[in-house]
Amino acid sequence: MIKRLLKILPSAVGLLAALTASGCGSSARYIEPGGPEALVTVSAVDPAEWKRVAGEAAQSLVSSGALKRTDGAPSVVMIGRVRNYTLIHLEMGLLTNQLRQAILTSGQARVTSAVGYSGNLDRAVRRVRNNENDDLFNQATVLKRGTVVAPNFSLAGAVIQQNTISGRTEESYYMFHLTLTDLKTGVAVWEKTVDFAKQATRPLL
Amino acid sequence: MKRHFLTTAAALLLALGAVGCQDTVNTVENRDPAMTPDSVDTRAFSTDSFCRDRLALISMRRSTTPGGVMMVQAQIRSERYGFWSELWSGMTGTNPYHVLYRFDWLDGSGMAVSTAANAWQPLIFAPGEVKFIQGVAPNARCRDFVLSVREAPSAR
Repeated sequence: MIKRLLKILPSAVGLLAALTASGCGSSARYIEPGGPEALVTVSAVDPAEWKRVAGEAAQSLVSSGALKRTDGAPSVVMIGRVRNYTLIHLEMGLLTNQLRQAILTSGQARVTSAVGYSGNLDRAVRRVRNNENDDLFNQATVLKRGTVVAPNFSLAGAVIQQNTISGRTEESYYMFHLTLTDLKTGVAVWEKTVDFAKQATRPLL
Repeated sequence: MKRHFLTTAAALLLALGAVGCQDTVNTVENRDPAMTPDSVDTRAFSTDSFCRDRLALISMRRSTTPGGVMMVQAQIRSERYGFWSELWSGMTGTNPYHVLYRFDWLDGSGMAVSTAANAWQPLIFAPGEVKFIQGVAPNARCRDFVLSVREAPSAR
């Protein structure tokens, strides 16, 4: 009897361990993007950081008054390139889309989609005007050239990363720098740096 | 008797060590400030007594930025200094104190205005440290605000 029990003991323990391990997982659930439950990693820019950079930059830009024109007319901003000088892939739309929204919400400026970098350029603005000699379209409805508003400002920037490792501790430092340039003069009228550092220590074993 | 004495002495030594290892922040400022701030009369609703006791709101001020939007600034001090606070935070590994804050903005009709900046932002306090947190309204139509502060998961 004891021999029999000893025979099935490893299988029983294994089954119990498997059941316990499967019980430790959690089912999919919604969390607040960038909220307290969101993951924080050293090797990437996490949602909370994108929100932090976009928030701080938007607050600084709106409060500076740099977007305001002396003649009272709303400025037009083109979203240029935010260069990635880090070792990882960064989806800059996570930053520029929030900045576009913040600029529009501010009421101080509008954002152009006619010119810009990557996802901030809508090629339809040019494409619809290429139909001016196409007999498929009613020519009275085809948009004419010379109606698109040119931008006054360009918003561009860069992301820089520096990694440091000391023993089992790894640290990543990220610096976002954004610049608003007056396209008439080429002079930068607003600049903002948002930086943050993250640290983690690997376990001994 | 001797054993009891030794145990008590060792525990006391450990507690003093834990407290003594902490770096608190000391501040100095001019006695007669020249500034003329526009203070905000605040009304607080606290649900977390730990967070309420660990942070003190020293002042809440408002101004208008060159962009014509309202800016508010909260001056907050970490109250986690003193023997017992430092002993507890040293034992639980919650020094420095991590909190999250968020500004929500309301227009003249009391409707919340969505903005990129109304996400939870992290803030780290050393014991006794004073920090200024600023919020800028997303547009000139915003009239009121709500500042929310909570402990970060790592601070519990």
